[in-house]
Amino acid sequence: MTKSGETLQQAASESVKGRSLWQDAGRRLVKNRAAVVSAVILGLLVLLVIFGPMLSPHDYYTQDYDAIWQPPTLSDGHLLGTDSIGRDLFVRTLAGGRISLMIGLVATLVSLIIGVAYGAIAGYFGGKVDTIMMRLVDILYAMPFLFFVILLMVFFGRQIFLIFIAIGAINWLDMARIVRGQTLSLKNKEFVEAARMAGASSASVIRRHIVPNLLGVVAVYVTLTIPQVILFESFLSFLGLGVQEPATSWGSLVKEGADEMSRAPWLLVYPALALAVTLFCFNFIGDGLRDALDPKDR
Amino acid sequence: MLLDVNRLRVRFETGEDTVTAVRDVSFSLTEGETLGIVGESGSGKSQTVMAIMGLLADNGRVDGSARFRGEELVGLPQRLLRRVRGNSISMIFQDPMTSLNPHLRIATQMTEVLAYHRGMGSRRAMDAAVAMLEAVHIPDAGRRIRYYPHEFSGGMRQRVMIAMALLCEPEILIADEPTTALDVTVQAEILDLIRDLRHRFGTSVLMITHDLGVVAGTCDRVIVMRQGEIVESGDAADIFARPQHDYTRALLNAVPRLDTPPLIQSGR
Repeated sequence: MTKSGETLQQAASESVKGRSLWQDAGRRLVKNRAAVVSAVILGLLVLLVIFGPMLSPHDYYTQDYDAIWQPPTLSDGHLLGTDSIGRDLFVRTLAGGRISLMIGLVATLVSLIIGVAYGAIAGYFGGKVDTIMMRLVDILYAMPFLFFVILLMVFFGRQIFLIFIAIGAINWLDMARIVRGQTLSLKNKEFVEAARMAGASSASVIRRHIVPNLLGVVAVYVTLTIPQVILFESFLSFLGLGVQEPATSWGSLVKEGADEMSRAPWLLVYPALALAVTLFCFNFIGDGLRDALDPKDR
Repeated sequence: MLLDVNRLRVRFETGEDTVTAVRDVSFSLTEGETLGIVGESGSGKSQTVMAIMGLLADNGRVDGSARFRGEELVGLPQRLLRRVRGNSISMIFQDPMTSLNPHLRIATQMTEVLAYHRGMGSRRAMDAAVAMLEAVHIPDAGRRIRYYPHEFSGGMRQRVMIAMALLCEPEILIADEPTTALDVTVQAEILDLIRDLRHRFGTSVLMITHDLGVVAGTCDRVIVMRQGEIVESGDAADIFARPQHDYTRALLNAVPRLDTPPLIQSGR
């Protein structure tokens, strides 16, 4: 009795606040089991990557000459074994995860900011502005990306932030195209016309009315871009263009592991597993977000 | 004279072709008056208004003149036009389902207008917005103002749109097919409301519609447009009683009726 009364009251106070489309989408996302499980796993993984190395007696660069090529064991703290020069794989996997996730997030954020601003401006103003801006994107698309990365590395040496720049510089192109397309359809909506009719300037129409309505699509794209970027960094590292020793990333670890696959399979299995689980999680979350934000369900 | 439109001409350049959407349209609007602009789809009625407000598509060109209280609006820089829009002249649109931003609360969308044109603080703007929602008969306005647009019905949203348009107490309210997307009972309520508010705030109304029923109920004077030209204009009562132009007669005959045969026989 009292309980149902409370729920009623709760429901009433909720309806007073009004539910935004984001809150509705959040509700649908929470009902998607795969997405929730993925988010939990990813959260745990992030915590482990941040705090795990502090808990281990080893660090990622010190060599343990008594334990070279050691398979995974619980006895002396090398949980996932050691590599060819006796470095602890558990800590190296977590340290590599830091780099990989950071590249994923930072490069995606860079491409997000540039891409959304660029695409929204091109789409909103249209006409000549649009033509010039999008042709520039086409030109950049045509550049051989790998060549561009190699050139950067040759000129400036191997530095992590160059990888951020290189990946961010290529990824915003996709983002800009997607955002522009969305903006083209949004700008003819009546609420944009109504806002202009109410005296809003172009800048405030873009900021207040275009961008918030883009975020659904963008959020989905971001969750699908992060794994793509991580994978790309792995690819660069695999080619030997990525992070420099003793620092490492999942891509470099997988490469090292692949070289020693027959002698020490654990060196390949665990980093590859970490990478695969992360990619799976991001993809499931992206999938869940896309379903949750699908306007047809509204 | 509140609004004086003289030989207004709107052209759109589409590639090699130039389409003239509005040809030498002239009309005027006095204070407190309701003027209906009637015509079928594509007759140029909406583009006339968009040209006056400087909101044509990028490939649109305007000639002629549109003076608001003696000030020329055609060719006025966007910066100055923005001060007129929503402030002295505001507008409500055909489809209330899409004229509100789905991601912002009603409160945010309404107070924004006041902050922009009146420089009001958020508290005063909020009070003014609630008062205006009450004026358009939205029950429980203080609570409902926190809702998002999708939590309102179509008729309610159109009321919100009207409230938003009237926030800055404009001198002219342009209603572009305000009832087309609503069902019949709601249509009547919205028209009543517009009539009512017109008296209360002394606003002049420019009613764009293809529905002669709407004109009959609300307008003092009517212009009939066809293919970008004015084919007939005059007092609403006169036009209904003695339509001069074939097209007007055709429009009148096109109004569906259940009870009586068409009142006016076509000129043939």
